[in-house]
Amino acid sequence: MSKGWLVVWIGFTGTFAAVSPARANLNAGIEALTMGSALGSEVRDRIEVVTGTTSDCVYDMESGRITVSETIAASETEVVARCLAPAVAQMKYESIEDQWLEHSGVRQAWVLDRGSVRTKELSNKVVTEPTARATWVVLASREMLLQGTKEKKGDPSRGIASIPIAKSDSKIRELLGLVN
Amino acid sequence: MWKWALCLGIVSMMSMASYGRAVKNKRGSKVETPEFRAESIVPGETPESKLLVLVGQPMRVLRERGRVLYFYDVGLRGASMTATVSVRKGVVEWMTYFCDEPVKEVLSKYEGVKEGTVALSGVDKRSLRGGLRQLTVDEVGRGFVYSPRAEKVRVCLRWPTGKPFSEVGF
Repeated sequence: MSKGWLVVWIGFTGTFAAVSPARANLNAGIEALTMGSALGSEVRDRIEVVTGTTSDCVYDMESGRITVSETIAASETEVVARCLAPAVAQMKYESIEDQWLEHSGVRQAWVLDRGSVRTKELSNKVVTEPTARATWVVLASREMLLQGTKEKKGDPSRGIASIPIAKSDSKIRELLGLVN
Repeated sequence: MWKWALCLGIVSMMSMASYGRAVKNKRGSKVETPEFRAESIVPGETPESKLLVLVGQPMRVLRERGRVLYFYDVGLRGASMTATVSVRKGVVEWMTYFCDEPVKEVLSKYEGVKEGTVALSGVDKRSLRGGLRQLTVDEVGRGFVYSPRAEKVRVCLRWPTGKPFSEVGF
């Protein structure tokens, strides 16, 4: 391919990508969740829009990728953000697990259960059943959605609506890699 | 000659100090107990009565469905994880502990490795696909848990040699 044709081809695909409404909505959703932080580029690197899937937003442990259905990708910012938040939290958990367990004061024990393994969490006082991962996903999702809500105060065109005002957790923000 | 004996004495005292750790007994005085070492225990053979001498004081003890679960602090190598020893009818039945063997090494070291997936309980399945991987070798009573994206094993499992993994546990 000559240089001229290459420039035309790149220009054409770039224009096409720029006007793709699904991608624009998806990017807006990612931006609302991550607010220009390093987490945003990490999510963009790992996200994939797939057709014909029954699951809306899923983190695949095997591939390390987040898959999003076409329907969700084309939805409004708030819908995209709400769908993406738990999957992004799952993705982030892989790299922050040790720090999270230490911060939570949780010690994770592994128990054999007839051909399978399950985890048992030992807090300082009681044995709690929900795993550290599940707790992280709930709190990290909330923190990301909260991030959007705070931004909304200053700029009505951005942010995620209808999230109750709650106190932000600086440790979770730090582990997520969100900009303060 | 006496210099060599002195050196030997100092070295052996230092090694004893690093091996053990101090816990307080009922009278409040400090007692040295050993750190947790997986190789000190043989599932199916080690009696419950020897655990304190072999691997020291557990951080917690739980009774659950006919078993006694002993949880041990594994120290600096895995601050947020514990080693778990299950005792049934007075004998160690199985144990799990932090380890970091390369997955490739495990696969090449053992024959008859069975692969499986660990279900993550309490996790919202709508946002997660897949799970941790599990390798088990019934012939040697050993298992290994690792993340599909990691190169090293995270948790090692041990149970009596030759017993099928599907029959071990609760």
